[in-house]
Amino acid sequence: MSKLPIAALLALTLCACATTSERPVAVESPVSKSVQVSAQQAAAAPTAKRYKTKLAIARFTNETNYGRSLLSDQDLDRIGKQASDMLASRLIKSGNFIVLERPDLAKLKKEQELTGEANLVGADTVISGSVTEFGRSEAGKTGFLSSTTVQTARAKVDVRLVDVKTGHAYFSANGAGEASIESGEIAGFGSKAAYDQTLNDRAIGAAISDVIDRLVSQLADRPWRTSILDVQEGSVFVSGGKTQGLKVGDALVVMAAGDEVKSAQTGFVITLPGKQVATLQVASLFGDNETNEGAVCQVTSGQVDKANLKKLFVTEAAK
Amino acid sequence: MKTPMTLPLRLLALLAVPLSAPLSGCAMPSTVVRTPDSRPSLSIVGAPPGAVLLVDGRSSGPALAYEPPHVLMVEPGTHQIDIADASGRILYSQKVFVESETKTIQVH
Repeated sequence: MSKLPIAALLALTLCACATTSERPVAVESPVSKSVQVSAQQAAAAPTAKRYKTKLAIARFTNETNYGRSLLSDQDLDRIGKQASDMLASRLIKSGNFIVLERPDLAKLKKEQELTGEANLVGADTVISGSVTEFGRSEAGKTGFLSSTTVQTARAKVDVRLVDVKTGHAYFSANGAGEASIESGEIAGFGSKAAYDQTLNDRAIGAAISDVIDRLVSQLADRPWRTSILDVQEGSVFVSGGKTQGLKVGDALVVMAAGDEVKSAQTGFVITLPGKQVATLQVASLFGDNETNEGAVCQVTSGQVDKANLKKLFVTEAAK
Repeated sequence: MKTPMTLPLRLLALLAVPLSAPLSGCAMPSTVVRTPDSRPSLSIVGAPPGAVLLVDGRSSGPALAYEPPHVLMVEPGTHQIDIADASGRILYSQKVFVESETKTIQVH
């Protein structure tokens, strides 16, 4: 009977222990790295015809009070530039956008003066945003002869996508990221961690990855349409190829664009429905990347007027 | 006048010489230069028993094997994540982007 109070006391003592969280256990995929990479590339291939949005970063700044006094550059924005670079790098890595350089455009133009070649392309959409929340905290637990300390950096970013032609902000997303380091000791023995500066950068990186995750999963592809490059000896050359989901044998429709009318209600310019002028079939594809791809098509019905190419566009045939 | 060393002192002096060499080695600074494994990882929460995790269409085994604290190491970039039941029917599907962090996928 006398053992009961001892057991209760022991249980209470153990309950009062401050224990650290479980460490993540990394498990390697049963699939080899080369198979993983090829499966990733295959999954990225378009299942339907799509055209990647041409994106340029217009502004990505640090709008928090953190990091404004120390290690700032001439624009007093160190974190903004770092985050802007992270955003550009991750947008390219996502494989879902054509990313155009803007922050270092002046350097690019200087280089073009040396080479004498220039063909800068304009963007369909600009991305604007900022680091809207950023901070650090330190919390801990103290138990019977034990204690734990967690240093946490938290960041939040907000972005919006704006149509260059109209200025219409048509999509917005935010992302949050957190990085932490935990140390604990029991009876004076255990782990210690001093201030870790890289936690800040990791939290911003995770927040940017989160926002791109939302862009990738929620941003719907725009309806596919393309232009005619040229008409030569009965063949019609259209812009776009394999990366846009075009395949040999695909049926396409050539449309004459309708008139553009400015809506008195919204102020936006609305294009009236076009008229079908011809149908095409893809005979072959050329080019090896999304910037130089094209398709050679044969006219299956109607006629394509070479003198009027600017008013024509190509879409998918209705199934 | 010189005083002769006692025997214990002589033994200590003899031991000090060979001991000092390895001990001085302990104090040497060491430099390590390496590229850390910064691959991202995925963890799955809420998958039903028997469900299989598919990453980009390839099976990675039972989804429950990747419940925290276990995480599946993947390549950076965009991935198509599917959770399928034993018959192959897709129960949950999501496109994710990961770069160097751990992404938790909540199956619901």
